[in-house]
Amino acid sequence: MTAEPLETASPSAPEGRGNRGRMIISAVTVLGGFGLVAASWGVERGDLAHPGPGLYPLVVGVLAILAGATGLVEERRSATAVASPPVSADPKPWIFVAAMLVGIIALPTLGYLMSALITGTAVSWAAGQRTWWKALLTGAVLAVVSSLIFRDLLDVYLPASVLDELI
Amino acid sequence: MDILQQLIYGFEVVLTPENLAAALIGCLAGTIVGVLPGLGPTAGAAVLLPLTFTLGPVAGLIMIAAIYYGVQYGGSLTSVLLNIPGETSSVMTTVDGYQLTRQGRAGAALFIMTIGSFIAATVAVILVTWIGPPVAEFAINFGPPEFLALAVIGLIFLVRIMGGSLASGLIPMVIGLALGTVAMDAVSGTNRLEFGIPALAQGIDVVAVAVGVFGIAEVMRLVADDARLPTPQKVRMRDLRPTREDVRRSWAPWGRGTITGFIFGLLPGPGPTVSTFVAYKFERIFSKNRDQLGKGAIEGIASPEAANNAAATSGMVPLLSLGIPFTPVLALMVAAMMIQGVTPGPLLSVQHPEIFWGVIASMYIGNVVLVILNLPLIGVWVRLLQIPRSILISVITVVSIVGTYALNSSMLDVIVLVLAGVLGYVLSHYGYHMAPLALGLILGPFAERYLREGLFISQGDVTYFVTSPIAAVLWVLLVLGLVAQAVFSMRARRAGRTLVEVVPE
Repeated sequence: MTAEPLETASPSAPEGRGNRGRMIISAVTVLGGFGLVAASWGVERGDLAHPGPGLYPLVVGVLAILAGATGLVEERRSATAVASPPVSADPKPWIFVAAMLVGIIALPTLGYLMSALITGTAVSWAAGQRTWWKALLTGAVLAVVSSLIFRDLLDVYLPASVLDELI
Repeated sequence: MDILQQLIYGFEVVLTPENLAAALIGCLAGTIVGVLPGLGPTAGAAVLLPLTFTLGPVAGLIMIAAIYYGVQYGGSLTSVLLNIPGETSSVMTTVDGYQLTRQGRAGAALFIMTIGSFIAATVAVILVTWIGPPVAEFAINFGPPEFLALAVIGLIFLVRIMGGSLASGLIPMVIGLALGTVAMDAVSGTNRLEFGIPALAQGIDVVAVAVGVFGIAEVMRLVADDARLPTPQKVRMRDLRPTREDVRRSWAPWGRGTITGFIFGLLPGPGPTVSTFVAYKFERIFSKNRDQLGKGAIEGIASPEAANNAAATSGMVPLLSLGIPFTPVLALMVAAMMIQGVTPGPLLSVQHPEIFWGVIASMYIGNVVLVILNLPLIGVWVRLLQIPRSILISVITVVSIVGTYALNSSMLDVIVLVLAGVLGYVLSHYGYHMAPLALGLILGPFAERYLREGLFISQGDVTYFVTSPIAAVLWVLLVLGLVAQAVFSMRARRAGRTLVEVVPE
């Protein structure tokens, strides 16, 4: 067996992609680490013989600072700073998130069936279904089937909806 | 009770309508997840995880295990028919599998693949049956130093073996560790990092995070990816018959793949994926027909497929015997156990023999079910690939939301789901690996517990963690492993080559 067990000619790794993005993430990790250290400072740390609940978050905070710093150093040294689209360049995933949120917001107020109908319809549209009635049909079928499965078959509590009486 | 008697007990546990249904549904779900490109086993298991809590602990865990090894069967279908791997563990199958399809031999390839998977998984589960209990018995002697060492090894090895830069695994890992610190401290009852939100006293639900970073993030990637799948070739039942030559040439690769996969499944890291690369490498060295590899050699699919199934099965040994998961999907099983009130660890076979032996026995049955599902129903799976993407995405999204809400009837969990999904999408967009995040979130609290217990016992003497002989060996293995990996990387860089980055599911 050769020395490099996973050797390959063409890596699929996105190394260097979004270099600026990775630097931002690394920086945020460092800041998050400091935040965690600060937050854990207010929790009792005890001592080595009797460690308190604040000790572990403190350790993790320090690890986060080191991890973020490692990321910053690696990106500074990286020779493959390839320009790449930022994560916000493609709007489709974010439209999908917005579609999801519309349905989720409706859940406690309009109940599950209505929420699932809205979510299924909005997400179907966001995922590429541009025929409105097909998106609505997808949402409706999903809402009914999932309600029957979760509520009736699996006996899971779901918020009541005005549409419950229809099924 | 001897092992055979316990195994029979396991079959008694499994052969109930609820548990059999769980195994069947898990195998079906796993195959579907495997067949659909873009939806990995971790995403699939995460999305379906909340559903398992509506079942009893045994049925729930049987279902998750069935999803895990079921995915290994289904993931190779698209590798052979479309040259698109359904899972990362099916990447090597595309090399020779698609060539066989182009030669009009897709049916034979699928048959060899399925039977090889069955043989490898069955051999592996027999080995698990005989190795698991002695490992658990040995591990009963483990204390905080040993468990802390195992948890740290699991985390660090996963970070390094994923490939790429150190930060690509380290940053998600610390994010997972940090999320695991949010909760009321179980020992002192002190509120910790709850920021005035009472609902966070129970901590951030690991299932909501897992469904988010694996399920929702994956869906966001599917939404972003407009690429349509090509039309797969039709495969009829009569096309599935291989030649005698195909079967004769497959025995040795099946054997080599099984051994390779079994060993890699015992180790930390993405065993099923890594084992397929190594198994293929072995075929290049040992196969009599190595000159045909890459051009449609049957060995090129027989060995990797056997390897990934054997690895998925042997991964159950550290999980069931030690309570330590070495892959994200197995980490989800640990999460499922904890939520069901079952403490994972060496005492599982003693305290919950129905779970320990039930899961093992279910794997025997699951393997048979998977052969039945994969061979006669190949036409169905091919049609599945034609489902419009918008429908698939809608189904996954609604199931994720309702499943997450069903955990605790809590809107906080749903909010965590969405935030975790966005986090997972952003991190993976920039090349970070999600598997260390999942393991950090699940193993982090374990590591904290063993650290604090050890410090209490030793009265603050940190050398306690390295003076135990077993723990010392584990730490030395960790250091040796890191050094070896660093040496390989340096040699590869000097030679101008790169190590493949093993992308998580």
